[in-house]
Amino acid sequence: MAPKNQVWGKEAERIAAEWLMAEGYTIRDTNWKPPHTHLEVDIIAERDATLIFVEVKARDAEGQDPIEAVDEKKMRRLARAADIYLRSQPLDYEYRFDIITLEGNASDYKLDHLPDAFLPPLHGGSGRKN
Amino acid sequence: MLSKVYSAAIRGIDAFVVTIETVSERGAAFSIVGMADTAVRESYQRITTALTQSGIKFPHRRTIINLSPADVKKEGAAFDLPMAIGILTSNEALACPDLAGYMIVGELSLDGSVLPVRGILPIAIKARERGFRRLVVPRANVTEAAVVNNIEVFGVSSISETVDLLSGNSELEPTVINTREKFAEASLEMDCDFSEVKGQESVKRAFEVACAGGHNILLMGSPGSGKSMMAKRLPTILPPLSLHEALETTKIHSVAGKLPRGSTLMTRRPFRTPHHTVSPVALVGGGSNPQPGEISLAHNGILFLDEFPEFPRQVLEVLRQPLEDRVINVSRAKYSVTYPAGFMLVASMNPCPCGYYGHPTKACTCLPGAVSRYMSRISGPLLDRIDLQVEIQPVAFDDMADRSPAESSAEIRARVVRARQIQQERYAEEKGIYCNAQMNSRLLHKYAWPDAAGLNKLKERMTKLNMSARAFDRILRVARTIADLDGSESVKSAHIAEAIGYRALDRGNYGNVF
Repeated sequence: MAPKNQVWGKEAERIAAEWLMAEGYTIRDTNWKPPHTHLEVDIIAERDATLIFVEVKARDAEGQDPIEAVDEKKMRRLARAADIYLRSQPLDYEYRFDIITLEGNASDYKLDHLPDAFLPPLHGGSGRKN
Repeated sequence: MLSKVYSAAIRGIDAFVVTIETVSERGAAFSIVGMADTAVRESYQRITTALTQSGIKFPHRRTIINLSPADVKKEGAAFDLPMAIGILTSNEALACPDLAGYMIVGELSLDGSVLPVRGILPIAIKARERGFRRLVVPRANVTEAAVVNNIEVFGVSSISETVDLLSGNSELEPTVINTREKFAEASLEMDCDFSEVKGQESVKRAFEVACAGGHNILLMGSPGSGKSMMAKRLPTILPPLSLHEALETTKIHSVAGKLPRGSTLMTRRPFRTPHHTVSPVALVGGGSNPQPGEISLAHNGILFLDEFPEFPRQVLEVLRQPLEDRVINVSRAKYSVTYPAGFMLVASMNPCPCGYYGHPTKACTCLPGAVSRYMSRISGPLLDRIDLQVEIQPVAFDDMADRSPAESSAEIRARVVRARQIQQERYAEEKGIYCNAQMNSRLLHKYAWPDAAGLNKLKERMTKLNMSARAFDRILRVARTIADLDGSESVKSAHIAEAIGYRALDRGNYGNVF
């Protein structure tokens, strides 16, 4: 990925986190990586005893739907990371997977929030791993 | 928390109990284990959507579902409803004090409604046998399930209704059907009757004999002589189904998903007419998810094969074993199932390729040898299993114009039923034998040996008509049935004479026109 995109991507994650805080969410973690894995969750937020695992997608211009930006492989990876996170918690939490897309650039963008975007994909039996 | 919900799946024409174990714990994952096929795995999507659409929150937890026994392949969508209930109970979103007393089946639609599934009757039978107190089935299947008594059968139309029922907040009443009463009052009215058939008295008589003894029958006649029209009326003279037979037949149709909506027990004998393009698997059953074939759907009824020689040889030969054993074993690498296949074979054919061999007024235009070549499309071993071979002549004009009604089906049936009763008493001691058609040579010697005059007659005619030894047993068997229709203890010479008349193909000169 070109450095320019990487910069916009990082910036987008920061903007998304700020937006979430403004919406009343608490940010628990950003760029959380479960130990011994190559998984990553962009933002882990909390509100009303629910943990929200957020995937942030930055786009140059209008194009895909937010849900289309996250394919099944990505869902599996997020679900697995979330599973590890939830099980490490001392308390039970509800959970949710959200997608936030930002279209445009750092100075002029459009933010889209899709709460409860997907459920953990079906796992086991098919021989497919995360 | 672990929850157990009981459901059932079909193997052959019987059901087995499937336990759906659901565990939910801290985390975010969803898995289904226990040899689930694609349709079962897809239920995740149906369940989540159906719950959301019904205003029930899908619990966001780490959920594992196990379908036990784990070594049997589970197929179809009938586990949607029990799995959804398992998910809700394991997350304590639903409390059901007596979940172990329920058996639950049903497919979910995305809007939360419960759709009908196949094989409800065998599932209900299994549920009662295993002592479940209550059975929850799709509303569209409820009359079929309620055939089974001594178990409370609830028909549900949606997942919310099921949740209410299980948590005890429902006014839903079990559906009750008095099977015996329903069965007794089922009308035998049919849409056709033998009284509408003009003339053809000898063929009607042959049908009567075939039905009375359970004999397979082959009809040969030129186009338009009324073969199919008469065969369609055969079920009207068969004895009515017994309750046991009706259950058996309904089970097969239930498994095949061939029962009309809202039906209960089948009270009429099935009449199956597969087209001659039928494949061997469609005829005898099989497929990757085994399904009963036409011969099993015709169990306790009639399998009518129109244009008999047009069926591919390979298709006809698969009939030989089930004709003998009255069951079909379908064995594949992955499974082996047994379906009942006790049917009466009725076949019809033209006597030759042009159709007019033996016609009273039209000339046969077939080349020499064509008739016997046409006949040879049907193998000897198969013909061997057909006791009656009857030629049908076109109806004469005077008969057609006759407006007085012929003998009704009910009258003929009364005689058939009487003859069947005689056979039932006679074979009470013989295991697995119910009618004359099933007699082996030992029983033929015991029950169907003609008196002296009859034996003489048989010898004389067989020599004169140059009949094969193969014909001998067949003639005795049919003669026994004719004697039964006559109410006669012994097989007399007149019975033999009539029986010989039903062996058109055994006459040594058949087909040698030139």
